[in-house]
Amino acid sequence: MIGWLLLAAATAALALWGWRRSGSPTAFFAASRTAGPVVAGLAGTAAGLSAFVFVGGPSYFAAAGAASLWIILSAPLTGALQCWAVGEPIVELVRRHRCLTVPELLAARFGGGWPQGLAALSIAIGATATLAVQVKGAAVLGSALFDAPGWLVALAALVATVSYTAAGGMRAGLPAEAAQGAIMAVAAVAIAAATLLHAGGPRAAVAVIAARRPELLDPWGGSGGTAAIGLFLLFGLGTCAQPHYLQKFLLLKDRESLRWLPLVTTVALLAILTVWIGVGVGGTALFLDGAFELPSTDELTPQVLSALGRPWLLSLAMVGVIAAIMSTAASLLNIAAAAVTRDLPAAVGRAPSSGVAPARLATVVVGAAAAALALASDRPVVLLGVLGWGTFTAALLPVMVVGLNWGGCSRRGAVAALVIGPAVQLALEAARLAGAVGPPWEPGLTGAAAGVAALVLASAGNRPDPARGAA
Amino acid sequence: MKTATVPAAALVLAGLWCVAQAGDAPALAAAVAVAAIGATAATAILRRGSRRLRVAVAALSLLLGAGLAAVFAAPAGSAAALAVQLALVIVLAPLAPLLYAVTFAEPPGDDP
Repeated sequence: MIGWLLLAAATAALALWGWRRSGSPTAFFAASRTAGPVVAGLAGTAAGLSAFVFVGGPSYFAAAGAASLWIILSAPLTGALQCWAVGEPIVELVRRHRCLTVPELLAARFGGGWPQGLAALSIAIGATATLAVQVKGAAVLGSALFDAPGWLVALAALVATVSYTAAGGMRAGLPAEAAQGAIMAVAAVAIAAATLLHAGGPRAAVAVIAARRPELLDPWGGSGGTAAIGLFLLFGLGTCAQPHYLQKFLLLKDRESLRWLPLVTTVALLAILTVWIGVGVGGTALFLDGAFELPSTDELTPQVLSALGRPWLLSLAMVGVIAAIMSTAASLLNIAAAAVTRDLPAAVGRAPSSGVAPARLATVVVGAAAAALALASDRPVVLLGVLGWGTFTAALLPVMVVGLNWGGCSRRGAVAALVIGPAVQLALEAARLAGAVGPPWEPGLTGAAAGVAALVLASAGNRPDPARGAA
Repeated sequence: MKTATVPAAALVLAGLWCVAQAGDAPALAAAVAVAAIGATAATAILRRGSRRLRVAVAALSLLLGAGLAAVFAAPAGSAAALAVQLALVIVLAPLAPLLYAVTFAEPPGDDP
């Protein structure tokens, strides 16, 4: 109860602080471009990692073993890769055109209208769907970790996030996300270390798994090597296409901030991901050793925390999970509000509002829509979940990586990629759900590959606009 | 940069990735993954092609390729395979961001 009161007080203070400082679109959507490498790195990492890391990641290890690690094995590379491929072009476009959103970057590069509108549409739908999955996840975690009705925990986290995000936009969201990233890192390292120690250390834990369930140490798992590499590539390249990651480049105060951004991002990312490996390996070993029953692998983290028998670790885990949910939700709310109130109107020729009142209202509406989607039914949320990471990768990877770096990319090519990429991804997701396509086919990457092909072929023979060119 | 290098490389990698999936060929998939990550990082070379940057991107790509090859070579279901996976993280985690910082430079002709 004290924790919830503290959360309410902190939210109210942050909302008030943000309200006073977010009167302009630059403040609301780009945090007045105040972010240095530490704040942007922590915030970007917190926004990119959801509560799945604390609960779903270890559970995935218990179910799929070392094959699950392919999702996180690209983590050491992603910070540098992002800055090389998209961060530097984005910062250059911001310097020239003062862009505030990812669709505005595409408008600056390819012209307004369709490129901006299609990107805004995919961001609005994808961000709302991903937010709904966050809310649903919070509801599941709420009942598992908090000894309270799940929907109540989810609603409390969402209302708190919507409050300060609607009041202060990213001006309030940026410092909150940076603090949440630091909290997540501390919580993750503490929980991972405690679990591995309880299991007798990493060597002993691996030895137990090798003796009882050696198949969990197979790096390729049941789906095979191609599918495992597909996950590695999806999460490696996909970071260059996630709008809530890319948004952080729009918040940087100067180009020099890029220099140390990958280092901060990588340290924060790996610190948080220790919970995946630590609780995954240590918790699985404890379960195999008979330390606790595991009716479902989804319950690994709660069971581990219970077995550790330290209330302060449980509290730390709860704070880490709430921080993970709120940080991801804040960025998604802001980019969806920007897409609805700024990019979509601009794409149809209307001037965006000079104030932030429509964006504040849109933030509340997007939050309410996500909550309704998440709590109404399981099925739509599960189906809409596919519109997350994979759809952003399929829709935005071709235009962000190839389009921003190749001067020959035409507007027609960008539009083709923005249409064909997600269309192929969604068709493959539907085929996978129907059982018509097997595991080697990774929908997000295949969509991105189709988008790249469409971009290149549709640009062939086109004379690029010399005024625009590559960033 | 308006050369044919970027579209040609992108098209070839996209095609090879689909071939790897269609044939369920893990070795080809791994090769394409290394090449795709290397090519993505190499887009920076198009903007500022310093020798140090070329060496940094090549070194990361080679290390990644060697790491994935070592995972393939490790006996399946052994602790060695897990150790190789984790070694990949431990080696690349400090290296990639530090190489980025060391090779970071203002683009030529950048106005303040």
